[in-house]
Amino acid sequence: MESQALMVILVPLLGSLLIPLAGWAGLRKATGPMAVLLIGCSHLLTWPLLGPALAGRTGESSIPLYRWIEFSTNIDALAVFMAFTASLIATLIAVYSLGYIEHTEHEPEYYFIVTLFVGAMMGLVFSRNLIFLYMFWEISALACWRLIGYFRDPEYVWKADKAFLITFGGAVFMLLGFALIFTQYGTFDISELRGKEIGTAALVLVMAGIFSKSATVPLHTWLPDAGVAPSTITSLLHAAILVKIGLYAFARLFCNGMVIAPEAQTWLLVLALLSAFVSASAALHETNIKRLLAYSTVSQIGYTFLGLMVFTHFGYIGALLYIMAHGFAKGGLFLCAGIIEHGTHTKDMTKMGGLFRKMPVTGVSYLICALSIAGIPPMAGFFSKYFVINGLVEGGRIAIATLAILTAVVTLLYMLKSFRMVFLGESRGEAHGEGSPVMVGVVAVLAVLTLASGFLLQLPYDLVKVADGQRLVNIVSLLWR
Amino acid sequence: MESYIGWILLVPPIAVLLMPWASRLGGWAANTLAIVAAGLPLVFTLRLIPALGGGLTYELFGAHFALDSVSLLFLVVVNAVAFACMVYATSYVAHLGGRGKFFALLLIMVFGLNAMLLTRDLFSLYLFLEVASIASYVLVAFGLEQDGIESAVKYLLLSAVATSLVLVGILLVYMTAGTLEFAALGAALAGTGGPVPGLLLLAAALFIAGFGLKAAVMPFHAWLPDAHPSAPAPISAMLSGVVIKVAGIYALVRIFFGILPEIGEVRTVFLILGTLSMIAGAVLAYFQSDFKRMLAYSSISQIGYILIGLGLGNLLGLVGALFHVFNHALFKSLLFLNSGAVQYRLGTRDIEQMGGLETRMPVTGATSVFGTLSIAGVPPFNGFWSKLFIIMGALAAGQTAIATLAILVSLFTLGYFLIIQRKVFFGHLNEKWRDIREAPAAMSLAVILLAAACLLTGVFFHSVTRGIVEPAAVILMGGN
Repeated sequence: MESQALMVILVPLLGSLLIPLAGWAGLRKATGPMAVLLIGCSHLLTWPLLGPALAGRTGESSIPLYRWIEFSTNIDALAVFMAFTASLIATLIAVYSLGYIEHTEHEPEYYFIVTLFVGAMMGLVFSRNLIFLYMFWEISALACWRLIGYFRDPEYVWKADKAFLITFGGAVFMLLGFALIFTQYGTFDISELRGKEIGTAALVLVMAGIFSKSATVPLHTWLPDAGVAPSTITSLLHAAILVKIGLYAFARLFCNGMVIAPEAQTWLLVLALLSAFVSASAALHETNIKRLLAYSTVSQIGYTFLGLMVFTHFGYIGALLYIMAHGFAKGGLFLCAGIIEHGTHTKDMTKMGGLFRKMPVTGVSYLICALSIAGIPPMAGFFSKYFVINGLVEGGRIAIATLAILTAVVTLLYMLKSFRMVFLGESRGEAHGEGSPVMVGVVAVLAVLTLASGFLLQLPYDLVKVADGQRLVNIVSLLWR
Repeated sequence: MESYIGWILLVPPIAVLLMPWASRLGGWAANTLAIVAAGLPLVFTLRLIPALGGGLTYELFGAHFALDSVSLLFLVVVNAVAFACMVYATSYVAHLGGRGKFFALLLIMVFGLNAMLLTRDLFSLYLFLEVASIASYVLVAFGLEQDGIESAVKYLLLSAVATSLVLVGILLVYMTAGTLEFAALGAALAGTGGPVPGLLLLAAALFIAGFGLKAAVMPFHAWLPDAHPSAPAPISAMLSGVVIKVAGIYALVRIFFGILPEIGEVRTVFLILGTLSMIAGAVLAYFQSDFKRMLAYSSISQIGYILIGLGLGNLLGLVGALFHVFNHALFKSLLFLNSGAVQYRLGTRDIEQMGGLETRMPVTGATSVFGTLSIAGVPPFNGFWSKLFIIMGALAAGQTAIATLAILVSLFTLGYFLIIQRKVFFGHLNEKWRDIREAPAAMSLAVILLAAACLLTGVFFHSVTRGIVEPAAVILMGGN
């Protein structure tokens, strides 16, 4: 189990180094398939971990390096669940890239960084040492920097720098928070920190890192700007990897680890709710399709945080399901946006319209994904949203639950608005047909996954339930201490 | 094994003597000789690492030399960077002319630095410091352009002030202790107990000012932003990467950890000067539009980190400071060599005129990303670990404010290096440079070596820290 997890990390992380070599050797054409192969391998390697994880088994391994710095891993249901969904979505996006990124100038660099990015995510998910958590965190930030600026326009590069600086800035403060935790408890090992109460200063610093990475208001501004990246990359950032890092870190550090004081918990809940509501309102006013989707992500992230921060069964289960449901749906939406952008050469929704006849598959997929985000049954998004709200009620936060439902209504509004502007009505600009078969196929697969994860909710639910159980075990052991 | 020490000292001067004949044979002979003369000391130094044990001594022509972990760490830094710069210089020097002279001067500089690290008394330290400095004044002016000569004169004058301060300091120490030999000095000055004599306090102040000037610590930094940019690129790399550390930091470390008795205020002074340099260097760097000037100011900022680590007074801080010496030498010389490659091809150092060069100069572009990420402290590159140790040391010493500032400055550092990336490499190609080619092979090889070193010392940081950094820090803390 441990060596299996190590392979999941190392295959994309080290394998990515081969891609630029292939690029230099003149094998530009091979770099795309190589990336798909490496990311796909990493995903397939998580399959054998599902069985033990479902059975509730956990594993740990550790390689001491220097003093308190050790490369240690932690394999439990939460980690396996995250690794499985993230690598699944990343694989699909990599396949889509084959059609999308072809004939651009820096193809080998693109595939190199994407693979490295996935490797960093896998490393982060399995890390048990805070220093290594931070390290993979920063690798993902620098990957994000190169990818957002991929098209190299001065404005794009500036936005890439902005994203790098905000996430790096948040992360170095988080590192300072980790260091403060170390001065208090003398360890960087997450499992040893289990049940310890975190100080206010350290909490603020760590949350600065988490909120900057997961684009929570007011540290969210880089995420809508990151829409200048290729659509595959925005999809990767929103659905599979980047913004999920903060959520995962919160789940790992606070739901499974350190204890937050109750007053701080209320503040965090209010912040998350504010983020969800404000960005949903912002999305309502956007006419740029990628910015609309980006604000929607900020809003959904706020929702997921609500589920995590309430620290109840339903909240936690709902939040984890939310990560998966949002990953499938938002990944699908951004890839749809990529096809639309290819077809219409614009991101402005006021210049689109009537695309449904020309792009039927994309249109249907978009609708399914959008309804899932808005929380319409039987899509997976409904169940996760329901669980989160239920969790809020379970935790006695009735007011917050009410406002969360209001946010869900706004979400439905802007999702339907975007669908209407893009696909219905009269055509208001040029439009070609569907994208390439590979691209449309991937979008359809994501839509099917969105539907299937709703109908077959039992499968992810079982795994998430185990994760919830492991979280509970920790708290019980805290009570006994 | 001891004889290696002799060879490290002797190989460069012998090569200097042979250089006129070699240059007469042709450029290739001079190149070969220079690379061998820079490479052999590196090989010997690396071979000495496993053999060091508790320390080695060696007698050469009646002069005593000794090697301990501290010297060894700095020797590795000097010779590794010198080797890379020498490889680079074999191509770079072509447009300057005077190949043989350039190599000879660079080798004299390396000899001076190596001897400074191996010597065992204060006066020789001063003497070899002057040997290295004189070679570097000439090298700064080697391009024979107006600004090079002007800044060489400025450098010379301020260094003369520095060394006279140091000389007076040495005199005061001699008056107090009656000897200048390190071990004897340590013994003579340690036994006194009670308050530190006034003369020694004065000497300490003079040393801090003198060597602080050499290390370009704020407020003694004025010469560096002129001298480092106008020198030829391999010399800038040597000056910023190595010379300020050996001539400044190494001397400070030797004198204040082990020779002079412990003076509590010195640590505070280190912390204050270090914080000042760290912040001001970064802020000034932010506003530069000259590629090399920006790098020069950033050196001041990074020296600040090192001083902070030294001033913290715990093992972790020292490990961080010494590791940062090592790392900064690698990434700063890498960045200077990158800037040299750009200047070599474009003929300008103004970043406003560049843009998108990575498409035309992929090696320079990619390696400069390595340098940028290292200096900003982005893991897994080497700069991250040394900064982490310094910050952890600061927290362990209760200096939360300094730790916070160090974190902020590293964010700032990333900010101004991203400006370089954005304006020089990352972006659309400026049409003016459509026909630019990658730098010559030797120059590319040198930067690839340094970039690989940055990544590898980051990934295998534990081997480097355990192998050569921690032993040195332990000696400075007073253990063996």
